Amino acid sequence: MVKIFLLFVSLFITSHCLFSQNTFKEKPDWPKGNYRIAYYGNIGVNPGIDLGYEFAFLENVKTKDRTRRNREIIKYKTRRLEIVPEFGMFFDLGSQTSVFEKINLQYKKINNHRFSFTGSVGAGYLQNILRNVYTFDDLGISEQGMQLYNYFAPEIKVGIGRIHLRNGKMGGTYLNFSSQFLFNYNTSILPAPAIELGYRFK
Amino acid sequence: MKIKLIALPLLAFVFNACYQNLDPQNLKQTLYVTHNESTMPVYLFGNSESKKIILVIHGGPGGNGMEYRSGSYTQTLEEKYLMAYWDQRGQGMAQGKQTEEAFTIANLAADLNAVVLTLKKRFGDEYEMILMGHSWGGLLGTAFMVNPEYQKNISGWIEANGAHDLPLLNKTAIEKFRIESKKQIDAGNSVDEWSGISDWAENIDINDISSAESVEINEKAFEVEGYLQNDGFLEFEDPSFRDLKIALFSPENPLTSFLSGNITNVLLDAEIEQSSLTAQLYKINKPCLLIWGKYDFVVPAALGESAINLISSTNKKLVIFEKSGHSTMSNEPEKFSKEVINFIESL
Repeated sequence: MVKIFLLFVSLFITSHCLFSQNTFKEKPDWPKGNYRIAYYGNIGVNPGIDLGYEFAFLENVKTKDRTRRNREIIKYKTRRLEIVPEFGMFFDLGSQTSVFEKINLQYKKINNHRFSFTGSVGAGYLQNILRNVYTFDDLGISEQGMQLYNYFAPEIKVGIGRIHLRNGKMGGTYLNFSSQFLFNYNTSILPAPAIELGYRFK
Repeated sequence: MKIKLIALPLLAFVFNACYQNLDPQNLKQTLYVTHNESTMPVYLFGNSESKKIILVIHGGPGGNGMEYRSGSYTQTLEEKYLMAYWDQRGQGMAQGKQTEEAFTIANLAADLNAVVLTLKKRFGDEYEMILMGHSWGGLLGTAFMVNPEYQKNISGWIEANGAHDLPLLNKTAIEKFRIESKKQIDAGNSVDEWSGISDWAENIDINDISSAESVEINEKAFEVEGYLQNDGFLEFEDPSFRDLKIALFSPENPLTSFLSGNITNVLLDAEIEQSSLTAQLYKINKPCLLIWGKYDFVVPAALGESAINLISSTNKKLVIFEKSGHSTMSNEPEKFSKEVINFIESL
């Protein structure tokens, strides 16, 4: 499992490097906001989905103008601060379904080779949905059916990706490594690491 | 790309929904028992038409119920009976918001009672409940069985390598290390390794064993099982395709189970170190089967030998497996399932 995961990550990075020769010829005009959809895998084995919207409230595009071998080279570097509301779910096969909703503050850097780096922190809630629940208390045993456990879940996330702009339309894949921290899980905090392999689009 | 991203979780959802199988001869279902702020899963597999449920009390503390589903012994048992693999409070996929004070052996025994009564409600009072505890599960199961209110709902008790008396366990383990290391050195087996064990064991005062030494005893016990396996004293079953399937499609999330289990282990550790139920074993009057491994240094067979004389039941049996260590069900699975079936059929 670990080998397949590493192979997958290395293929992703290699493909990005191979295509990274394509540079921006003119100053990129990024849309203010874009959607994203991702496969969300809790430690890579519990499949799920993550939907989000990235909205930039601060943007800075730096232009570097250099001359090399009598050729003028212009480089554009974009830095953005974004608010990202997210919603998603994942499954622990045979035991529970988890639904989460959160809001992240994201820093995104896009270089001239259209390679993106993101880092974000956020918070939200995660609900574990359990089926076939029986409650045993002083009144006896009662069948509850479905029960929901709600956890406060701060999150940290880092990621890489590739973004393109074609005819004003934005798109590109990304890979995030994230971890939610469930408070109070039993008596303590439970980290729930996940990978997100997704697509940004507008 | 977008279609694949949506399709994958949808497939998972369908797969998750299909996980349950209500065919009584091949039941597969997860149910949860909420008791005292903890919601604990019970994974059910096997033949519910038998009207006999074997409730597995896992080891650790810090283990999980599904760990005990691996191995051919459960395949045999699931064909005949319904197996219930329970995740104890704070372990496996058990969850909730609890205080540290909730983690006592008495509370976990009360949880076990809640699980027993819930299974009786789910399947009916005519179903016979047989408890099977291994290692720490043996201590928890014994704590349950010595309570007459709890014991009355049980048809039989199977203790496999159960740690129902820690002070006695530590003392007999050191004695066993001393005797066995001498025997192995004389026979020329793994001489350097056994010499190290012998030196270490000789330096421990069996009348004053500290908590740190108790941890060391546990570590050394698993270490010597390695030497014994290399020298052909222990049998081990090779993992099968079924074991791989169980591991890959287990409802247990390994990381959740590992992290929760380790915290719970720490919370229960001090009480476990002081636990001695030998003086209360006379309270057990239900049929009992005690299974131990001859080469178990983690919980020496001396505990089983003393327990069998103290239990009040008329239907009781102690079996010591000749080629087993601490995991009798993995060392000699055929023998294990045969003994369990014979015992259950005798009830």
